[in-house]
Amino acid sequence: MEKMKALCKRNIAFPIFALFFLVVTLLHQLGIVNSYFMQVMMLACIYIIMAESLNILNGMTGLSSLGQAGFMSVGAYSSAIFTTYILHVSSLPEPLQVVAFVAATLVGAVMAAICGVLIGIPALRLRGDYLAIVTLGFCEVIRAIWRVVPADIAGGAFGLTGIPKLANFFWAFLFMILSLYFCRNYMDSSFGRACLAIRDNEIAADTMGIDCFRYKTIAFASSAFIAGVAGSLYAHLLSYIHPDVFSYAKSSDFLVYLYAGGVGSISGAMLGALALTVLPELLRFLNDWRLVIYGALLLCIILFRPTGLFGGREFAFLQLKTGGIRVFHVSTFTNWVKGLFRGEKRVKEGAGK
Amino acid sequence: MSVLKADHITINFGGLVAVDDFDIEIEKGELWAIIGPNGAGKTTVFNMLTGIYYPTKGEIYVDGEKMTAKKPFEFARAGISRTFQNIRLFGGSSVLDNVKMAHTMDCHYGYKDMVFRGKKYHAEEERITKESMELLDLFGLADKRDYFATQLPYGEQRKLEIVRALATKPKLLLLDEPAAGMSPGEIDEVIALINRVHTEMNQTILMIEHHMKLVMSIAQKIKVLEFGRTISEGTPEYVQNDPLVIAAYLGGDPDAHA
Ligand SMILES: Nc1ncnc2c1ncn2[C@@H]1O[C@H](COP(=O)(O)OP(=O)(O)OP(=O)(O)O)[C@@H](O)[C@H]1O
Ligand SMILES: [Mg+2]
Repeated sequence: MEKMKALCKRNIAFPIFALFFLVVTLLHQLGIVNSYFMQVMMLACIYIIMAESLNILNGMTGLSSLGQAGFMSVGAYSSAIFTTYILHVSSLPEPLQVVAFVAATLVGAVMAAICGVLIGIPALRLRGDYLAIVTLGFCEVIRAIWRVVPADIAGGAFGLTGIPKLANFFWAFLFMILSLYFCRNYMDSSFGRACLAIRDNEIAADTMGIDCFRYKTIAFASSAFIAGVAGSLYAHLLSYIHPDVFSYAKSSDFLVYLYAGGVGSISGAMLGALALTVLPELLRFLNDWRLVIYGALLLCIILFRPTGLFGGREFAFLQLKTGGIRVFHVSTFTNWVKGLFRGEKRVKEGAGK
Repeated sequence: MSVLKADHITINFGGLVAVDDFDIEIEKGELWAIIGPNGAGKTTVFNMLTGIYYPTKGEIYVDGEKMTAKKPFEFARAGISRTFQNIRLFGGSSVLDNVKMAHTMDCHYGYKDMVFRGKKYHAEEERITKESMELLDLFGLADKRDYFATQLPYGEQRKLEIVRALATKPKLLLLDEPAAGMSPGEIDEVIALINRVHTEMNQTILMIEHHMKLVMSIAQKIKVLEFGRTISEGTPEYVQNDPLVIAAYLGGDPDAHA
């Protein structure tokens, strides 16, 4: 208990997220929000993980990836094959099913990370648009592979059906928090700073003793790992996956979430994915006009806030130090609550002249 | 053993011999300067000494270790750090982070410590922050820690580059025109700072500089380059009175001064 208290004090984000989780669950139990809303929330969690995964590459390291859906599909397929065909989870008792699901998610994440390294090693000699095209190609190759794998292993062109529905709001939310925690810790460490240095000036990073190739590979593996987690959640939530779900169009969705939210910002990636997953649902009453308005809103965000909704800022409750965020002191409760949501500027602006 | 030894290094770019037969041996604690007109090949020498360019001929040794075909980050690990003539700060990051980034190679915790934030992580981060702040303090930049590096005025950006280079705890510090573009007042400040780093921290330094006042007042030994060739070498007094040097700078006839 004491340990728990200390942990919460060091990570104020935990109690906040726990509270959010309890409120949503309670609303669902009371019938105030329906199952459809819960489904949207779960997808939002998964897309937040994907936006964070992309943020490690595009935001922190300055590597453009258009193949994020590819990593996600590796996680989805390998975890689904693991639970459905290898373990035959549906015949196991319930507590074991949960263990199997967590294990499968790990398997999916590790497989994705391995792919990340395999694609990273040859691709990292390239830069900018060229790297983007290679990752795009990777995404398409993976998709083609899922089509040609025999139907009794991965479902072939018809997609993989009958995946046990093991993921729920609890798991989606938990893995989202763990991903955020991971990204926060990554950014606030020598690993994250090395990535930021490479993004800002690769030659200078190199001459300061940063092994750029090593840190880029680590970034690729880490990004793919959490994309794999999202993939596993996705497969075990919808219980059906098809190669075409993980096309480059999906990758570009994640890109839009990230840039609308604020590339380079962990809070921004979170906010962008959440807003752009929930928004189309809120606009359903507009019927045919829905996508028009959605597109127009997106344009407005990018035109009026080119750095994204939360670019260059972080929620104070994430307690990020890197980027110059000042340590967060709790003085009074009101200040505290205000501080939580105000979104502190990571670095002072315009004052240096 | 010498900190740095460049053994007759030469580099060609296509037909152009940018640096021809450059030879230097720097002992611990010395302060050297390279001077020479624009395009003489000074920055190119630095680029070879930090692994950005490979010499076409000749060898480089750091602390007796042969550095042939090593990459820039390996030069940094061997103990060479530098600043850039055209400033290359980590512009998207804060002043403090710029310095912390230079600590990447002496940050001794692994991936696992990073993910789970063990004791080692906290201890190392604390040490790195403390050391970075001490250096920033020495250069009067401590209260600017939260600014973007690119928001600093020009002179302070140059200072921050020196701080960042020092943060790698180099055996040899290379400064490429540390006073370029500074006002006379700032130049005096830079002279004092380099002097302090040299004497108090016993830092071995090799610098490129155009300001004669700066060079002559603090350098112990000077090399003069012109069109890639070394035309003179010695103490400030000797170099200042060398007819070849006077000719190179004033464009006159060397014999006229002899
Ligand atoms: N990568 C390169 N490719 C081709 N030529 C180069 C390259 N780098 C430098 N040079 C040439 O080498 C010569 C020396 O350049 P360098 O930058 O070393 O001069 P410098 O002494 O530093 O001059 P300055 O005082 O202007 O900084 C110049 O003629 C330059 O054009
Ligand atoms: Mg130069």
